[in-house]
Amino acid sequence: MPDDRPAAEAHVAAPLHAPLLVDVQNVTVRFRRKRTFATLLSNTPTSFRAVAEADLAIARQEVVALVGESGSGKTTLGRTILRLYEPNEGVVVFEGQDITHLRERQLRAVWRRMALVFQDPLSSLNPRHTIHTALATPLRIAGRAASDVEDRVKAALQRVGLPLDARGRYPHELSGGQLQRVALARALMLSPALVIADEAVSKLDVSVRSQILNLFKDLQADLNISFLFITHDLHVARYISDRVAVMFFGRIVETGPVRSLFRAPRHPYTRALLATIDDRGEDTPQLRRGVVDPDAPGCIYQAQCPRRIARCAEAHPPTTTVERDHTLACYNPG
Amino acid sequence: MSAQAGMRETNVMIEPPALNATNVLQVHGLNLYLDAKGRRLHVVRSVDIDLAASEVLGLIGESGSGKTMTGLSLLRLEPERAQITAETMRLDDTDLLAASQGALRGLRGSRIAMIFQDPVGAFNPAKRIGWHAREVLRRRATRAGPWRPVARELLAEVDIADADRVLGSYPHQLSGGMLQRVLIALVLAAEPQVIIADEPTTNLDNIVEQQILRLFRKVKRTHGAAFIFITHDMSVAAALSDRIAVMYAGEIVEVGPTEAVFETPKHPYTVGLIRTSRALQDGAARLPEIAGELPGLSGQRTGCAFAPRCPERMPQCTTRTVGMARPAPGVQARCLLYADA
Ligand SMILES: Nc1ncnc2c1ncn2[C@@H]1O[C@H](COP(=O)(O)OP(=O)(O)OP(=O)(O)O)[C@@H](O)[C@H]1O
Ligand SMILES: Nc1ncnc2c1ncn2[C@@H]1O[C@H](COP(=O)(O)OP(=O)(O)O)[C@@H](O)[C@H]1O
Ligand SMILES: [Mg+2]
Ligand SMILES: [Mg+2]
Repeated sequence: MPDDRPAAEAHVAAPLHAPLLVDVQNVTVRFRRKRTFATLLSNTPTSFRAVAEADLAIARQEVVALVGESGSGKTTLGRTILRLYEPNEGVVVFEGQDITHLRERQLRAVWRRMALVFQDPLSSLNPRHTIHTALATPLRIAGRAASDVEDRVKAALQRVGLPLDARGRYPHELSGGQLQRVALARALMLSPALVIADEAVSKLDVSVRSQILNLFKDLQADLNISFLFITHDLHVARYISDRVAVMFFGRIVETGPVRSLFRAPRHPYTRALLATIDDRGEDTPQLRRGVVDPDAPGCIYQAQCPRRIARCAEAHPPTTTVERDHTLACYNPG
Repeated sequence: MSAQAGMRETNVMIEPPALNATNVLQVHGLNLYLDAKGRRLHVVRSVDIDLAASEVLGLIGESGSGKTMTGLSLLRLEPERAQITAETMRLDDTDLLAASQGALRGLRGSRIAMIFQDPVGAFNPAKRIGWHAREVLRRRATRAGPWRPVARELLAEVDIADADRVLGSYPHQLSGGMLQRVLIALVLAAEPQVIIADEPTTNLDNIVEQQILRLFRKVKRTHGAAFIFITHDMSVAAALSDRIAVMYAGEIVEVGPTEAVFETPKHPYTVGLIRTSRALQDGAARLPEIAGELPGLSGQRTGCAFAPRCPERMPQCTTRTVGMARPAPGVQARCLLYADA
């Protein structure tokens, strides 16, 4: 397989023209909140819109980084693609199939093609199961023959750089970096087409993080996998991804190829975000932070935006394509 | 305790910094042992920390190196199966080793506080954020009047732009990063003298992170709070800390002024750590790795804990006890490259 993957650069140039693996169209996800006396009194709305009218495509073999403020809806969007949440509006297409409203029974086949890697590998592994059991279980459930299971567990451990004697060990006997390798090995057991990594390296310290990031890169190149890499670390996003999507309060405000987005961000929020990465000095100007009301009309970023114009109060700007593979939702971009 | 005392003799005696008189926190020879399945792990090994008012000590190092355990020990919140020994462990005039549970409870939150790495555990899952805020504000009792506007202000300081929704939410309804911000706001509201911040910005984007760092600086300025700032993000550590301590496998292997440690790191582990983190920032095509893993924490250790992974390893590194050397003014490194003998 490695040979039919073009050099990194060519790959970056045209991700979206490859066949799409994931196509999220106009997806809105709301969390309902209970109506109580207190909520009635304080006039809080009865639902909270965690993701609003989001469009996101992921091509085969593409790595998309999803970045944005904490609470902006990155995890929610990721879980919606995995159909752990059902969207209130919009469509989720995976491998050409509309999975928006599939039932759990129908989703099982879809879930074999997707995997999730969490921030905290320990919490995703059963403490009473050996590493061997953790890796073999998905295969057994999928009905693979016992001999096949053994071979695949061995191959998986080798692929993520773990010694074979790790099979007999329990999660608490491994270091954080080793556990994240196990989590990754397990995610890859059924050869998924899509891996969603939610802050998968943010708890790892610098040296372990480098090992794991390199491993992600190698696997992605070798295995024909698409990654949605949710991270708040812009350096990680730049290192790992082909394309970046930026979220703010439930909205995807800008997407673009990693190089051009880092070189010339257009949305004022993206610009503010990127302005921080090489300059953490005390003299960076205080950002304008107004109160954001996701239910108010107008652009979601208007209360904080230094480039606000009159139109911004009217409606949230539509997403337009400003350049090849570069989309933007802003009336007055920089 | 006795084995430890023996080990310390071979170390260069660590002079308390000149600010000794005003040190709010003095810790010498802190050890923490954990019983894990019949094995005794020596998780924190002879750690010294002196902290002056308004000072920020950045504590960096590999995960599993003992940073969190060191922090928890200082609040005496070590796990039940842990034993602590220390020569000195004082917060101002309080002996933290001898203090009663009641006295410790009185100190925690108000005089020494921790921003936990995992914010979820710090909240009561059955109560809304507003309830937690009210509790903190009630204890502070500086101001009468409605609590909500004060709570809104606190949340605005950690860049939460929809405070009313957050105050009305239960902890599980907030994302990890939002909960982390709420915890920071509530811990700071109590104005403790010493704040142990355990990876407080790991879940946050850069804009919010900067705001948190600004807030920490403000708290340090306005009421002289001292920080132990645990992080694996080198640029965050550099931005905030006066001094840096680097931990490896339970020991502090290097400590010194921030600039010295980042510009001219001495210990080979520190050198590798800084090189790796720069590579990611500089946009390297391939990240350098420090090959290998942390050593186990059980039992007696001969030689340097980093030796198996060290590019500068010498034969004596695995046989001799390695004490602190002074490779540069104000800098100490636990490495034979710099030993005088
Ligand atoms: N079960 C829930 N009930 C109500 N609101 C929720 C629930 N889960 C998430 N939310 C809200 O939805 C929004 C998006 O949450 P999400 O976890 O997707 O954020 P995130 O971008 O992944 O943040 P982080 O970077 O901190 O992980 C947040 O404002 C959160 O408070
Ligand atoms: N409850 C526990 N039981 C057994 N070992 C533990 C426990 N908590 C931490 N440890 C071990 O103690 C060491 C130090 O942990 P910690 O202080 O959390 O490291 P850091 O914060 O530097 O990542 C690690 O080897 C860890 O595995
Ligand atoms: Mg999240
Ligand atoms: Mg820790």
